Amino acid sequence: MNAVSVAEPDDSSAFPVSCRNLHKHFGIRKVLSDVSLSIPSGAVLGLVGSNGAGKSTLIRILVGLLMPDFGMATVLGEPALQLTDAVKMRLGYVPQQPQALNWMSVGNMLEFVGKFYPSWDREYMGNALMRWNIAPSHRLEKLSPGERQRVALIRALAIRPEVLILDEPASALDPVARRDLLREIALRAGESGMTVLFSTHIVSDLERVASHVCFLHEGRLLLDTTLDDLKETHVRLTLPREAAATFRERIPGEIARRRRPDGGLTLVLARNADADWPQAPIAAGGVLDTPNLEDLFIELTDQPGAAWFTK
Amino acid sequence: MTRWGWAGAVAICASPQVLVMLLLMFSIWAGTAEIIAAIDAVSYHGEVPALMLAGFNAPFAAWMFANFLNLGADLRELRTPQRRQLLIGALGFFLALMVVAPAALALSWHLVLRDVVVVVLGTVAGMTGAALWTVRARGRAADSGWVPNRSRELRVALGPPYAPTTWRARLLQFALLFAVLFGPALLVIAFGRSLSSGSFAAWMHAAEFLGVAVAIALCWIWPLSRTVALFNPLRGASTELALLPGLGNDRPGLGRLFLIAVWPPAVALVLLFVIAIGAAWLERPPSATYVKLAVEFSLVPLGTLPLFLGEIAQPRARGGRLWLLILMLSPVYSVNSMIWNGSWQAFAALPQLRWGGIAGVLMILIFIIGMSLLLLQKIRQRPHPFVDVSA
Repeated sequence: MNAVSVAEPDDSSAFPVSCRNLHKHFGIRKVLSDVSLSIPSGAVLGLVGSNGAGKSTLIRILVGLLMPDFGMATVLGEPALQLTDAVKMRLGYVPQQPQALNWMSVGNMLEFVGKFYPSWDREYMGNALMRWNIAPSHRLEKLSPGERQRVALIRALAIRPEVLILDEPASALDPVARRDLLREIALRAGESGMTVLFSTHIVSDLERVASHVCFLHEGRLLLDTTLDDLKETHVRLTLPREAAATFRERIPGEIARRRRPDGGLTLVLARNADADWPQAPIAAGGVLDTPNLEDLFIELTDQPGAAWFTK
Repeated sequence: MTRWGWAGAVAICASPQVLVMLLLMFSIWAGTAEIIAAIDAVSYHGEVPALMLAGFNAPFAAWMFANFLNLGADLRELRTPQRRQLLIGALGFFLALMVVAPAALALSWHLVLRDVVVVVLGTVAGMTGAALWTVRARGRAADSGWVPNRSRELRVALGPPYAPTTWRARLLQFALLFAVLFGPALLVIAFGRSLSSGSFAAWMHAAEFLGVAVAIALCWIWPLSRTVALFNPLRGASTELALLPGLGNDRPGLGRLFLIAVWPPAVALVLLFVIAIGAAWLERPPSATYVKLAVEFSLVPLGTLPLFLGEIAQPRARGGRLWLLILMLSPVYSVNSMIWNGSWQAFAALPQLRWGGIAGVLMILIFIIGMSLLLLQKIRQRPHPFVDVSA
């Protein structure tokens, strides 16, 4: 059961963010297993996974905050664990629960952080604080989780990063702020070619802004493709009970299967863009449909007894 | 001239904090007078109130003199007419309050001239400190461009009590520390007159112990436990800092970080030791008391550093911090009671037990030092001070 990876780069330095063969254990629990990923320049990659899938662990390894047991991650061509100041100045990161410097006021913290970055956008900082109605004099520890997350976002975006990595940035935001954030990401990515990686379990967020999508489940990368390709190259095949017995073996292009309570089968099929879907199951009464991202994620991850195969 | 004196007094006292501080100062003067009344009944110990008054007056004088210096800067900036008269009036008020009044108070207690000079020197020390601090702060403010000062940035990253703060906040911290250190003993002196000499001594020792224990907790354990909380990646408080450019991601950076984390508590502990030795000296105790004090204070870092290093090298999950505090305190004060109640002398009387005891102490020392070195080695393996290596 390996990852269905579409990007296996030979030269990781060509990608702003990449990792190869990452493994990580916490005690006896395997959190990441052979994860390889590369994000092309200017891409907005949504990393989707259920709680405990390993998203935060993967992100922390990618930005060099956690040491993997095996494998290597690079950011802007440098090993993540040895980032130079020059690369750090081009990298924005928003953790899931921002906590650092929370004894300071919002204004003082942003002033302090701004000193480290020559490209610090003071105007954006002021506008964003006003737009999100956050008083600079408030202490960070007194803010609600959503407000604290907004401040962390302002901090990350005000440095005008080339690479922006966000760990569940919308988890504590209200719908308006979430839409605001997504619009900002899309705008920045479109304007300046910023590369973005953000993790989420809200799939609808991803469909709004992401150009690429990754599914992470139980520490394995199940999918890594562009959003357009995903819709073109993946279908759901629903086989009735009578036909299910005929297709006990894996069929070409099948990447996941699930037995339904009525005895039928639901398969997820993948193909190359120029190839045709297998005709035999359709002839046997199978029904093809194009699942939306959320359905596809559920088909691939949320079923006990589901199986995954390499393409 | 009196008019300008009042105007100057209003100018440098024009905030509620100053009025509260003045009230506190007058209360302390009254408390000191009580102490003198108590100890004068026994014999002359003029140096005790003189030193106390000088020690207490120094931070108040620093506070007031810094207010005066800030007033001067404001008046200069605003080009206020007749600012010279206003400043002279304010200076006159300051000198009357912080030099003349304490000196007159000391003379009214029938202290000798040497003790009066000690009292005035306390004010002079506070004034000097305030002047130096203000010059330094203005130098920083005048520096418009950012010059990377890693130590300063690291102090900010570590947060309170390491982070630079206003001199007012720092003075308040010191005032609190001194109140904690001397407050219980002063209370016993003020309200313990009716006690028998034996009970008074017992209460006094308990008050001294309480003061020193809380002061050690504030000066040593609080900063270190805050550092532990920051470096515990499971709590995640520090990880965002790793990506700030300029905070260092190499071995020297790691060394600098730990130096900054350990240096202020270490200095505070040494200062507490000096204060304890000074307080002991005033009572003219037997020389063994100094050795006991030295052993007691050396137990604090010996008992706590391995725990501190262990928490950083192998972070525990949430809730570990409270246990750390309890662990840090318990070994020190269980051994401490042995030192002060003299039970170790009973051991020393028997040769076998004495040598056994020495061997035991040596083994514990070797274990503590070895453990600390091992943990330091583990910490050195981190690629970055804030990087989590847990597995």
